Amino acid sequence: MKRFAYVRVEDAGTALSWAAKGGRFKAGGLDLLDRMKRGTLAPELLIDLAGWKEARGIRTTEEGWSLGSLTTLADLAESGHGLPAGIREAAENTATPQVRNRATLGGNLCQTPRCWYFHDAEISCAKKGGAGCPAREGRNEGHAVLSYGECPAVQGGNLAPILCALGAWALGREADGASRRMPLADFCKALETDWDRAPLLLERIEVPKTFPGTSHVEVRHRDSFDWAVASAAVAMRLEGGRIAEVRAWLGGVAPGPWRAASVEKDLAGLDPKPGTFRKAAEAALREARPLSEGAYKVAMARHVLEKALERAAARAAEEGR
Amino acid sequence: MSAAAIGPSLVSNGKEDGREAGGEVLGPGPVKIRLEVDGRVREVEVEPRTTLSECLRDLLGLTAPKEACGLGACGSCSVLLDGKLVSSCSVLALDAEGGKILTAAGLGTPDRMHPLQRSFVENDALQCGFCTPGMIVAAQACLSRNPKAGPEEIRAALSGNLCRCGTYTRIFEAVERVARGGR
Repeated sequence: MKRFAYVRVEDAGTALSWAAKGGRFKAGGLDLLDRMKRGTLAPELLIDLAGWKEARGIRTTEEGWSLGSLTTLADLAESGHGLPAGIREAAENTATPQVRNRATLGGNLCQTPRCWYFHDAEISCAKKGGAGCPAREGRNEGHAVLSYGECPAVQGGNLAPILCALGAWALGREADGASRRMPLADFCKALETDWDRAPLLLERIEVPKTFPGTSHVEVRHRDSFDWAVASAAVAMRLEGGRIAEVRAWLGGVAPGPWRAASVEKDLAGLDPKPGTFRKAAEAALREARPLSEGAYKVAMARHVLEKALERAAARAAEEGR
Repeated sequence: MSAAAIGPSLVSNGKEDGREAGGEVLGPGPVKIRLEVDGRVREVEVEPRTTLSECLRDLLGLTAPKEACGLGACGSCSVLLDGKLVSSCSVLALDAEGGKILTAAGLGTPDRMHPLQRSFVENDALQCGFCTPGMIVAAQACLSRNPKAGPEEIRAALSGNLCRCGTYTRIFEAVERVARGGR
């Protein structure tokens, strides 16, 4: 790593004033140090957020939960607090025990995508100030199959799909220090444009408790220290044994978390039986446009979506009993 | 450790707009920190870019944690930091300032081995041995949470540690024996 200075801060105002002078925020530092070691990023100053108390801890609120952006994935996986099963599953399936003990919720949402060209300092691409995309004619088995533009790189954070499915809100500070609250889905969408320019310094994520049935299902090439080939997160509510409301978001298949909107209307009012879910999952992936090596991801995404729908329905039914 | 050390672009701006941004700027040159490693308090000069594994191995000469991938992917540099299993290559030494670090060497000595260390020896749970210190602290993290951890739990707890020799069966067996109260 190139040399840099380091400042510890205890509040958002101080953090932002250092950021205005060119500093980079550091939470767990997993993705950041990785980029600095690979030589794709060389900040002059790191702003260590670990002492920022308002961004720590999990709170139960009347509406649901408030998750500090500095909460580690291990704490999300193990904290109790009655967190939705889908959040716990997404956290406990991430990376390794070592990573989960350091990696934070905010960092998981803001990490850069898993594109081997992007992370290679020797290779030029549009997202590193160059031109074009080497993945399009090159190796793209890990890239997007849905709703990508010029850059098909996939942001691999595990927590975004389930939090978007639950209708979570991002709370944080704008560059001038003003507090702002925005749908997490909008925050994630904005990040797709420029991963190094988050719309907010994330302070907390608010998760409403609208959905009793939640799930996160993913497939990876290997079980440890890997990002999902495809993941699906589902939030579901039943009424009188029928599906009253459902949200399904996919991870690993688009530049950011991807809303499987067709599932919401295809399943509304239906009896949650297995065959129904397969049809809805197939319909959701119909618009996929894989690159040369990505066809298998479409099949994987269908599979995880079907499983996640089944699991969320079973949990919603269990809660209703 | 003066702010002036960090380069003109960052600091003179701060002075020009008439307010200090707040917080103490460290580096980029040497910074003195204090850590407790294997029960002994150490003072050491690091740079902000020094990782915990570099601090332990290169500056303090404590070679139990091994660095292999350097990217947090293999677990061979694992230590416990305030009781939590971490890859020391993915933690800055400054982040560990004031913390308590346990390496595999701090668990026991050749004369007074920790049960996990003895079980690794008796079960021949290594070939080249490069992954062993990381495996042992990962196993210690697992058994300190649940001394009677079962095979599934042990495998999950060691899932961040790679053994290039493929000695997993014996490693799991060595840990399971300690969890069962035997050797």
